[in-house]
Amino acid sequence: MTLKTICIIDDDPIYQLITKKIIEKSHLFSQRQSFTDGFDALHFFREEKSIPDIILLDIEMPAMDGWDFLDEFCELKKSFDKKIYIYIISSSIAKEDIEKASTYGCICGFISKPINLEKLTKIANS
Amino acid sequence: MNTEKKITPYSSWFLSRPKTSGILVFLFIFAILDLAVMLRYQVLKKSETNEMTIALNIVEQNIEQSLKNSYATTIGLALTIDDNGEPKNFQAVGRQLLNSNNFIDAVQLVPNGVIKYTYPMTGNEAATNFNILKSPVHRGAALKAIASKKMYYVGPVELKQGGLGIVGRLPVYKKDKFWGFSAVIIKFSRFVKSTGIETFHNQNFYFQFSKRNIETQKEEFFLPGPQDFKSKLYKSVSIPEGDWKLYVIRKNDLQIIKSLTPIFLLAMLMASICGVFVISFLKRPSQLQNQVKIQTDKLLKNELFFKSIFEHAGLGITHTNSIKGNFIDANDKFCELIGYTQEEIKKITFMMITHPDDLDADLKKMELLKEGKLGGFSLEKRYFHKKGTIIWVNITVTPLWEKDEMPNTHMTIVEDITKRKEYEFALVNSQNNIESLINTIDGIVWEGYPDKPGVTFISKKSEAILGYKSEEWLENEDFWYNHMHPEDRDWVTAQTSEYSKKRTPHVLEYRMIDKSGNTVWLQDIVSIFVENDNSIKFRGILIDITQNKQFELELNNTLNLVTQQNKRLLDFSYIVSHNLRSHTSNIQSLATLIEESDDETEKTELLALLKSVSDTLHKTMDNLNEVVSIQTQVNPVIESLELQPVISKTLEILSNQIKSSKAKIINNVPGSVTVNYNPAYLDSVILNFILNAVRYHHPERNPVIELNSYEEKEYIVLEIKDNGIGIDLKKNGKKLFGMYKTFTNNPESKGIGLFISKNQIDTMQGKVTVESEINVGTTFKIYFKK
Repeated sequence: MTLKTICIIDDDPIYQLITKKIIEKSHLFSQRQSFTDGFDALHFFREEKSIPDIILLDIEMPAMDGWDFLDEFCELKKSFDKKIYIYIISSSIAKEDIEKASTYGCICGFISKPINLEKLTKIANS
Repeated sequence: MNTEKKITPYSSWFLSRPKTSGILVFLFIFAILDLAVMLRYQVLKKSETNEMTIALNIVEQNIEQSLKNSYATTIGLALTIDDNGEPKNFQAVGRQLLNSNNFIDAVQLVPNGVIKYTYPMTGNEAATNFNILKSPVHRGAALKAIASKKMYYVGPVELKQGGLGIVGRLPVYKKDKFWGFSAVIIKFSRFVKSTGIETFHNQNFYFQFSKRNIETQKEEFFLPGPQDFKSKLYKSVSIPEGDWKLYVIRKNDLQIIKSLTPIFLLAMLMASICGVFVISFLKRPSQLQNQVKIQTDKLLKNELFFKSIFEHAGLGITHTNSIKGNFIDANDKFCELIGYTQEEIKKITFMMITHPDDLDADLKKMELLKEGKLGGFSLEKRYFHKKGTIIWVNITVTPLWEKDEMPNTHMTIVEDITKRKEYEFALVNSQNNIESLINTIDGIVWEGYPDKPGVTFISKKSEAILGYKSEEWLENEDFWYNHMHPEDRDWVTAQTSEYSKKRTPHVLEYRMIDKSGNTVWLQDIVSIFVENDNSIKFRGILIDITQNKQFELELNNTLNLVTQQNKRLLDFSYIVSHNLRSHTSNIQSLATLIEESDDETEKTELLALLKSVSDTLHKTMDNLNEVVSIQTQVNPVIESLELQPVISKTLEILSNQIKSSKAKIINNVPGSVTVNYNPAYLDSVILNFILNAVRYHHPERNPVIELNSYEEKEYIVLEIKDNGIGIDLKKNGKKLFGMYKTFTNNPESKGIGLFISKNQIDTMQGKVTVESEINVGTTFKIYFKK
């Protein structure tokens, strides 16, 4: 089984650091990328013409938040002949956010922080 | 006296027959005048006859004179004859004789009947040697002269020498022996001239001259003019010397009548005028007499008529003494009405049977009537029936005295209106019931027409609800409009007219101002009634819904409050779920990583991270604490604060940032502006917004920040306008004032400043609005409640 590539989009540097350490220790993914902003991520995907298999997306971000990112990304995704799994990773436990997430067809799941090995393993096996 | 009496029947006979009298007068006068005319006629006729006789005599005398002259001439001529029977100096004597007798044309001597001597000869030659005794024309006459031995005239005959003439012959005897004739020849025309007939030619008569023919015995006429005059008036004389007859004849019998005709006509005219005058003169009294008769008849009829009206009328009629008030007469209907007999009625006065409550009004009107101030009156009043029951009547009183007379009696027509009154009372009763019912309805019941201003009915509840009596409302056509809340007037009138156009019932809720100036909320439930003539009528009820409205308002306020609270709560849940949880989850993750790590270096690194997370958590907790303290502070200290010093202080605090960003601050806030605010909040709010304006400046230009202040309704507004990067309000408007909501990558952006400011402003019952355009600038307006 080939390992999947993963991408983290979150503005919290500490979270990024923590998630990076967990991913490294898990050895579940072949490649790992991280962006602090939706703009940067979209820009990168367009330039490199490559998208990771799994995206872990935060909602609350300055400049471009998770929802805005999803609006553009779902369009962009169509040009890639590839199954992409997007997970919303949020500290929010608000019902509204979970409901809103379910309206986006390209979202696989809504996962509350903190992220841990167990949750990561589930994501990798999806 | 006696004669007068005798005359009267005749005169009245004439007076009553104007035409006959007129004709009689005409005939009488005409007869008298005719008599006069007749007399005049007689006189004229007589004078004419006299004239004729005189003329005849004159002419006769003239003729006789002529004949005498002729006779003298023949004698003179005969004297020329000598004894031998021979004439001597015939020529000279003849000439002499002719000269002295110029009417004789010629003289002749005719010895033995044969014309031998003629003077003058000239013109008479043809007669010489003419034997007259052998001439049939002259023979008879010649023999008659011989026989009578007198001069005898022949003719007028056709003379031998030509022309008509007469010849007078005197038989001459010489020695008692017939010698011959001495003759004169006179032309007939000359003879006529000598008679003087011509001088009468202009008269109303003419002359005729005739001779009986000896042989035929027929009368022959010789003068011009009609010969058939025997029927006319004439006179005549016979002249034996020539067996002639002279006539004088009236030319025209009618002449006199003609001359009398104008007089006759005048007489007729005069008689006619007199007749006509008499007729017209006599006719007038007779016309008057007729008129009197007609009037009398009419009066009689009227009297009967009125009597029958009086007695059989469906109405009571009385004849009353106006001074004493007693009944003089009353008809059966009236008696029946009040239950008295005719006899009884005449003993009572109208005052006795009139209800005491109505008597004053009746007497007052009677007084006015008597004073002449009323020409009559009508009155509704009550009578007492003999049995004591009350009868309602309508009386109509008419005075029976003339204007300049003293009041004496009057006539009263009495109509029984008891039934009508009963209905009226019943109607009023039921109306009162309905009205009292309407007045108990807990709302102002009203009625009106769309095309008429004002209302026609307002129930008494108006006073209870608006403090205005129904009368005050009804008196003022514009009451409704004037007492409506100024903000509601336009839309309510617009809606009402639209509904009335569509004829749809409707319910409107609007405000009116009551008498004490308070606003009253009313619900107007309006029904529309279509009348018979297709016009419409509004009926409505105004219900006081002020309390409901207040509840509604309070409810709305509460709802707003709850909604706001809810939103804050939600924000809080976000803060809790995101900001706090993000930190705690990081702590959780770090703890797990530290736990699982064997590497000491890694552990130290993770512990450092853990500390930084706990610091951030602490800061967040501090911020939350601040927000909570704002939100939970029920009555923060409020002071009257001048804006200007606060702004100056803020600019001083921010002087470094302003200097480094090269920002230009334009402060237009007047020094006098003061607001009632919590001092700490005011500092915080002004600092936050100015800092925001400086912080989010446009990278390509130096920031310009303009501060303005003005009043808007119940607020004092502070306007902070910048030329910065702007905010996409469409995208981020909702997030603008949320906690930890940032939408720039500015590292200083914490998403807490505006959130706190907004909370502080809300607590001070103010508000904040924003206008912005990306890359142009943003304007925040902070509203401070006055």
